[in-house]
Order: sequence, then C-alpha cells, then structure tokens
Amino acid sequence: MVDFVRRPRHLIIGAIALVLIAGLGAAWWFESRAPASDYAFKVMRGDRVLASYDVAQVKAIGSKQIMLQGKVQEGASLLAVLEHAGAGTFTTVTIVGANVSTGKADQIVLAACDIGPDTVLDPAPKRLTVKIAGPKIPRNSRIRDITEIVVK
Amino acid sequence: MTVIALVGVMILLGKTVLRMPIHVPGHSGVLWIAALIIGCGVVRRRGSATLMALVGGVLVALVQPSSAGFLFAVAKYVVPGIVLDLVAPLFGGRLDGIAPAIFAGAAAHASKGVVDLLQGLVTGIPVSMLAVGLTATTAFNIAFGALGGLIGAIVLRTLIRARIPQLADLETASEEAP
Repeated sequence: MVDFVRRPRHLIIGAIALVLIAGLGAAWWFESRAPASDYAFKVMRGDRVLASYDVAQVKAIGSKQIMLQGKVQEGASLLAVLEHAGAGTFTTVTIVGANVSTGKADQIVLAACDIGPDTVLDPAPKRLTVKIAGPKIPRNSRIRDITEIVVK
Repeated sequence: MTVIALVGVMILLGKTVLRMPIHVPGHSGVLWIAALIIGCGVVRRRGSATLMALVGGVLVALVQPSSAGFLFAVAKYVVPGIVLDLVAPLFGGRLDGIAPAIFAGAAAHASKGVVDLLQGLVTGIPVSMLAVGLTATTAFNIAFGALGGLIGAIVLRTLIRARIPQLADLETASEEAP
C-alpha cells in the first residue's frame, strides 16, 4: 500500500528531474553552437582609430574593484586603457554604446576632471562587453556595450 | 493575505539586503525560493505562489530598477511562482517533503533562466552574448533553487513541529501516516 502511494511521487520527481536535465542539455547545446563573440570597442581621437580592445584585452590591462551604490564594479581603469591606447592626454572623453537603464543607443561625455582612478571599464560576464562606471557617472547615465571611446 | 505579503517582503529582502558575498549567478535564489516554498506550504491555495512572487517581484522592481525593464523584472519572479503553483499540487500541496521541495525549488528557479533568455532575445542582445555561460548559469539556477527548496522544506517541517495553527492539519496528517 505504501509502495503504491509512493510510486506516483517518485514518477513525478523523476519527470521533473528529466525536464531539468533536458533543460541543462539544451543550454549546453545552445552554448556550444552559438557563434563566437566578435565584440570589440575602438579608442579614437577624432576620426583616427588609436586602438581596438576586446574584453580579454581590457582585463589584461588591469583590474580594480570599486563600490558604487552598494554594488561592486570591477575592471580596468579608464585612464589605464586610454594610456595604453596612446590617448593619455585629453580634455573630454565620449563613451558611445547603450544606456544601462533604457538599453537604447546613447553616449556620455566626460570632462577630464570627471575621470579618476575609480572610473572603470567593467566587463559584463553575461554579455561579454564592457560598461563604464565611476563615482561621477550617475547610474542611469552609465553606458554599456561600449562601441567607441572618443577622446579630444 | 498576511503570509502572502510577508513572503513578498522576504523576497525583497533576499534580493536586496541579505546578499551573499559570492559572485556566482543565481545565488540570491536560495533565499527567495525558500521564502516561496515556505509560503506555498503554509497557504496551500492555488495561485498563492504566483501572488507571493508577484508581490515580491513588484517590490524588487521598484526598489532595485533593472535595465531589463519593469515587466521582465517582475516576470523573473512571477514565472517561478507559476511553476511552483503547477508543481506543488502534484505533491498534494505538501512541500514539507525534502525531495518534493528540492525538485519544486529547482524547477521554479530554473524557469527564471528561461525568462532571462527571453528578455535577452526581446531586447535584441546578440545570440553569441546570450549563449555565454548559459550552461553554467542554468546549472547554478537549478542548484540554488534546489538548495532554496531544501531550506524551505526544513523550515516548514520546523513550523509543523512547532504546531502553528495554519499547519495543524498537516501535523495531524503526518502523525496519522504509517
């Protein structure tokens, strides 16, 4: 009698387990078949491209952690990346990409005084792109999926 | 209704305040899935998990606005609540059992990953970006959902043994069972 009552429960658990395993298998299949990301952003002075970086190259430049609005942002300092690209001197920097809040194409212009050692290019692990974050950049003005960094 | 509101707040706290310092996707699900399991086990009405998840999801979306947009931010909680409402009756509404709670929690939290994927597709994120770490994220969602289910079941069992009025019939049922 107990076995008869238990069996449906075991079948249900087995069915759920199968669904979860199938879901995991589907995720693995999708990930293995997806095209490799060709994301990279350009550092430019005017119309001249100084350098191009993908996420791995940005990580290789360096990494520091900062705390902003209770969340950890971690990545290479923007100043270090610009220095690496040969754009260490500038008066303004325009970051082109997508707005973090709306997801729409957007850009932000930062004066030299707005950029410090705590302004970082934070790689987003899920998106394989970078976003800009810093103490003088309001959260809803942050730019993600950066495509260009233009210095003047 | 008190339990529903309470669980909604617990979901908010689990997502915003009681954060664990581990940088692994889906870890916050341990707490809010446990809260849903507990609430589902206490209320035991059809649709209760969905309602609790809706309350919690709206609170989280308001307190912690996400780039995903309000709708998807709420859906990430409502869909697991719906899954829990579909799975719980299969076990007679008894989520104080360890195995049922583990698998119900795992299934519920795994469904959140589906919402994340849909959100990415709708917002036009390239497939190559969506696929990055998908297997690991899915595995973590399942694992943390299962852990949340386990914690929820243990708390429910403790509440049953503590003889709270809402669970008095469950205590009687467990005493009568061979």
